[in-house]
Amino acid sequence: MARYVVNQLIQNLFREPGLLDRLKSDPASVYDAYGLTAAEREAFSDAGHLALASVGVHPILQMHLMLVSNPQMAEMISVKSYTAEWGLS
Amino acid sequence: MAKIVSVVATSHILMSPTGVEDRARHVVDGIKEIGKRVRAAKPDVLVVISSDHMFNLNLALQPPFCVGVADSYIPFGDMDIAQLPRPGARGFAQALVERAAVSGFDVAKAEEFRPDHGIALPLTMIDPDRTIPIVPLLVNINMDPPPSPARCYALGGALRTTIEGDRPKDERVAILATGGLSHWLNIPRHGEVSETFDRQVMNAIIGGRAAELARMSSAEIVEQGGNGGLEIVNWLIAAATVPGRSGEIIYYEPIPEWFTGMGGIALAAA
Repeated sequence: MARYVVNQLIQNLFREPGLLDRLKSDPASVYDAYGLTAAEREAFSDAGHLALASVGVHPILQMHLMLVSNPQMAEMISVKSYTAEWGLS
Repeated sequence: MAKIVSVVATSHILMSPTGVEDRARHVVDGIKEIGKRVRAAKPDVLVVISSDHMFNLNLALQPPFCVGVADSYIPFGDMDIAQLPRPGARGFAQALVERAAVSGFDVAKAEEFRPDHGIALPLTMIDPDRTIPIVPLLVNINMDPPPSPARCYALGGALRTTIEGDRPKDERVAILATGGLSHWLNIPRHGEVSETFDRQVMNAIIGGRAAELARMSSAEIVEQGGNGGLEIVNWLIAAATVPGRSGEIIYYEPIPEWFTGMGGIALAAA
């Protein structure tokens, strides 16, 4: 059964100044602040679909965490190459 | 009585063109063609119907429908979309909220809304000069349960009444629905695309049969088109503003590399 807190943490990454940086630099302190279980901590560290789904993270919020955790994915899901070469503004 | 001068719909994502250059080019050219048609209709207002990808409407507060009533909008900036402002259309937005209220839809209003790629991405190609005032209409497909296809189609009727019954004569209104087509995102079958579903949806809408499509349940859409496929309810709202109107497919590319069936249509001008 999903706990709201796992979704709340991801939602707050783009709302609470500094939270994303803290998640990257000191994840344990963020996990402690949100009271994550061992399984939830493992899922967040894995940041993959199956792991995040196993602890009830919403599919869209899974994508949020993947984008901040995986630079290659962030590069793929971006308009940068289009703005540079295809004339999108 | 204002006039509906353009009704179009398009997918609202782009991913890296690497490895899919020809299909990506076809998609971009298609959305640009839709933009040309919208601009040629010289709209005073552009209603943009989209889902939000949980940057604004998340689990903290879950309205089924939300109308942006602000004077301007700055994109959220996801997907590295430039955070350049676009004008809003407060008067139209308020009229829509009021008409919806007397039509059985108590929609949420937003003064602070940062359009994510669902709205901001297609607009980079549809209104690159950022001059057409927009009215964002958000459909919360990410809540459980999502607004049903039938409710969305009915809301499109209220949008039509707003335009034809409540707005000033000579106002020109364009309707842009975004999202879809099929995609399974982070659920079982992740990454699949269903060309069958996509063509069924597009053909129903351009054939003037959106009302039939609106009889599908949300569960049936998810089964056949994935959780992201639910975004076709945005298309149903647009189609409901011109019931029975036929149209044409502007572009279609199933792109499994982007996990998405990409398509765009335009309904015939009145």
